[in-house]
Amino acid sequence: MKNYRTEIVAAAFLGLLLLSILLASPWRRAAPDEMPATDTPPVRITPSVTETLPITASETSVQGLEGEFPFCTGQLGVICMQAIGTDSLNGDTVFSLNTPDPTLADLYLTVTAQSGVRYECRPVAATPGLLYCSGQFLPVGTRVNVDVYTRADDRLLVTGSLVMPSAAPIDTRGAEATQPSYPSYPSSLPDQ
Amino acid sequence: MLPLRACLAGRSATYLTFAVLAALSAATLLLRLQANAFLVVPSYFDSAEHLRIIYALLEGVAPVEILRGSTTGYYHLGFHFAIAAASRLTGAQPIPLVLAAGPVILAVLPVTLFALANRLGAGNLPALLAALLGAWGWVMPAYALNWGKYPLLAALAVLPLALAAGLDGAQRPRRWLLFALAAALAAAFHTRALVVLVIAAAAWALAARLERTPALPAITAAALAALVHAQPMLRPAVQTSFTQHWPVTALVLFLVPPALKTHPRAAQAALLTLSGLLGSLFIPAGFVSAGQTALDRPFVETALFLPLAMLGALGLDGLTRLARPRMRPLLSGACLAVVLLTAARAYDSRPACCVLVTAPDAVALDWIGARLPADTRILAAASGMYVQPQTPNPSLTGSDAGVWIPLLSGRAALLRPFDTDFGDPSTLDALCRDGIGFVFVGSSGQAFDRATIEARPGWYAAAFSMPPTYIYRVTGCK
Repeated sequence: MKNYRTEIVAAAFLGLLLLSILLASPWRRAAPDEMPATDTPPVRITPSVTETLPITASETSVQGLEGEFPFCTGQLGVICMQAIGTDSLNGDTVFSLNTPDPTLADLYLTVTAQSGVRYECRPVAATPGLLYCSGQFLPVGTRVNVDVYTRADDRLLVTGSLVMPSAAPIDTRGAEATQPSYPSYPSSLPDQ
Repeated sequence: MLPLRACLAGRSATYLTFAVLAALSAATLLLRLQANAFLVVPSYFDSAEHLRIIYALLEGVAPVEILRGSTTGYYHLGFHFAIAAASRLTGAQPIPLVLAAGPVILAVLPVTLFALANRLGAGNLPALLAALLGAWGWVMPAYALNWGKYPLLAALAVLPLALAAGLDGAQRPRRWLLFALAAALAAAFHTRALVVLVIAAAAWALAARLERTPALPAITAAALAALVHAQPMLRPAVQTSFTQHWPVTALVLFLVPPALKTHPRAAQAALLTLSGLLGSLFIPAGFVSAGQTALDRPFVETALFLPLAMLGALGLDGLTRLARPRMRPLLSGACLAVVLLTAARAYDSRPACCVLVTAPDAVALDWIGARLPADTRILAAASGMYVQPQTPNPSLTGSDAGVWIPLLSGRAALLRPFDTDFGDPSTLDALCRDGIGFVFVGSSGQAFDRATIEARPGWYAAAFSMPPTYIYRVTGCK
């Protein structure tokens, strides 16, 4: 028995270690629901009126025909609304879109509240696939239908309706305690 | 393949070993690339500085001028030159190139760790354990990508190759050339890699004298414990790096005795290197920059895996030598399984911290570049930089997406502490005096408190909002 001492000690230790890994409750951090990028005020989405849209045979891949304008809540792989904001200097409403295809950058929106208004989109240079579209200011609570078109051939890519969100509540997190740079895992940085 | 074999592991390594190593590297690359899907730009404030340097190199700015314009005292440009060259050659934008470079470096690391462990005397399977420990054993070194520590990781990926070649130098003089090349490359990526080389060389030399000193492991362990206990900033670094993956740490600790028994010099050297890395935090290096030490906390926290991975490999090699032949595959398999299972349970593709720029921030930064006059000066949030054991007067560094304003918007940004009270008249006076036209409030990190800005509607007015990112115009200046 003495000759097997090394093997017995090693096998017992490694067996216990493996058992504890398999039986232990997961020690990974609780996963946040979504990335900070999607920390947007809740936006109500209503069924769209897509049956009135002039959809042609070439537009069979249009998103949102069931009425929901997709919001970016993860990696959807479709054109989605990232956030809605305001350009107060120019009195514009700004829609931010994500496109799964970074080459799909030359787009415009038409936003229909009472009559259709065109919003020109501009790609964010540093972030392929991210665009923002500016145009006439839309008051909070207005129900609108949003259509996304390619500028080159006016092809409808996505459509759906939404209600303009109210302003986000003021963040009252206040001053935070100074902490070391390069936070160790798990991070204690706010908003992470 | 043969030169690669000879270079990495001598003649003992089999093609199967290389196949497993290649599979480990490929899996590491694919899994680490997943995090990039959640990033608009590379993480943390370091990355903004890296990209500033890379763009400057692409524009043909002389390195001396680049270093002169640096706010963080950069003194190594190897990584930046490499990315700039890759961008020039491929036509790809620097930001996605830097994002891709992180996982690529982490995929190279297991290969060089394998080479070093093999050179230290570990067999193929134990050397594979070292590779696995470096790739997936602990949150570090991969976690350093969250800090934007690309040059440091690149240096650490090359360093084991330099150490392995250096070990070979006595027997095969031609290896000194490889050593010189690898050491120069590591130093070009991060100058402080030379400090690690010196520590490792000193540890190797000292271990030769002390390898049969039974008290040395106990002395080393006591010194390590005292260092960790004495240094408040070090304690969380060590705790978080290793307690999250405690089964792997327990495994390595268990493997230390067989490592000392069968590879006394190499194991002693690894333990001494571990102590040297921690001890270097207390060696002043004021000649580099005021308040600097030989290595800083993020560096040490990132590099600790290196001696630990070697201890694991040497220990497994020792354990299998001490055990009977039929037990060896079982013991090796169990050790590899501990690391793999721990890594599988801890794996999360999302960045664990330090994402300063989100999509709304990117839109706001682009809007600044498109809509605000070129001479606009914008205020961005900052926090003190605390990386040394003692930092009495920390310099300010950007703490939210505002740190990217100069690079992504082409506008001047001035920093103020993130806890600035915008309701204080002296703050407004300072903003007016500095010609600040706008205040940027980022979506994450340590951003300005909007409440103190919006409490003064006569001084500040909303200019742009893409919740949770906001830009305010300073309207209270006379």
